[in-house]
Amino acid sequence: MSAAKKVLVVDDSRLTRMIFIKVISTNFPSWDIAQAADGASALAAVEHEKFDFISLDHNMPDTTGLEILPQIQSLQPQAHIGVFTANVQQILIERFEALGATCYQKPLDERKILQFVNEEQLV
Amino acid sequence: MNDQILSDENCDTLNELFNIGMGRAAKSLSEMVNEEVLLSVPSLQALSYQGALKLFDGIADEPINAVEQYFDGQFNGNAMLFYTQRSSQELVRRIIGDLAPNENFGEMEQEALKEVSNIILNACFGCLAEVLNCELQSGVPSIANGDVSSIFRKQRDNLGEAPLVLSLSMTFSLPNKSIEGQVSLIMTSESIKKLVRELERFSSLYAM
Repeated sequence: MSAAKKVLVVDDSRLTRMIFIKVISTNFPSWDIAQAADGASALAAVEHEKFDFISLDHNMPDTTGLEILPQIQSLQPQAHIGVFTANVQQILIERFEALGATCYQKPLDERKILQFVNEEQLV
Repeated sequence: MNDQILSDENCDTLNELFNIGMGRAAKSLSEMVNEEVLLSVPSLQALSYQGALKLFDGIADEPINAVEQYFDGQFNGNAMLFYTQRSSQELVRRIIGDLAPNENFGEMEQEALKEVSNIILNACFGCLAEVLNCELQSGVPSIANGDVSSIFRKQRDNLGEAPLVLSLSMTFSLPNKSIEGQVSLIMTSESIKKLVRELERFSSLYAM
């Protein structure tokens, strides 16, 4: 039984946040889940609270995941960050990987979310 | 403006499905032009036929090229990808490069535009079908030129009733060259109801 963790889901799509929350809360009922619908809310959340897992979208109304990833990493060095994006061009994936984040192609499903979570759990 | 054709939740779901489809299309496009394709955040509107006419008249006051493709399955309709003529010429030039003859939009350019639009529209259909777990077939793409109103009027004539329009505004651009495309699904109200049923069935899987 894993210890309770904190998860932040950053995505402007309500659907994506809903899927993420459903999968996490079903598989890990004791975990806390916070959500942010844009980059500004995400940065406000990471300034005030520590997270174990952060899922990050790329295309958002006010910024991109690539722009705010370094800030999030500096504020949350302990967090395992996964980029869940529809924009899966190779050049973009390489930029995220150069920053140490793993990319997962949307659409989300349970397998991808659990892979993201378990990757870190196994380390 | 949503005209209450789709609930906010269904609009959000459809917006995200199109976003995923356009992301896949951008990957294919970037491989074709060997450059990064920049995508804007998509915005979906569900509109009446009259509302769509007003919207398009406001944003495209120049002649357009539209690629039209029929889709059929659990729900059906016509998908259209609109470009201003400038955008379509630029896009085609980037794809076929030196092969483009120095003349106005000729047969080779039209074929290239159909092909790239086929990739974009099928990425959208493919994503809808995959995520909603249904089957959608698509027809052969064709090109329509002219002003938006006349192209829409033809759609109305074909469907035999005032259609409803799901309009996705999303800009994709290549470095230093803005190429704008707008995807619209033109459907009968009966077909929209079927789509809504599929969206609600899907959303219910993740309801808390």
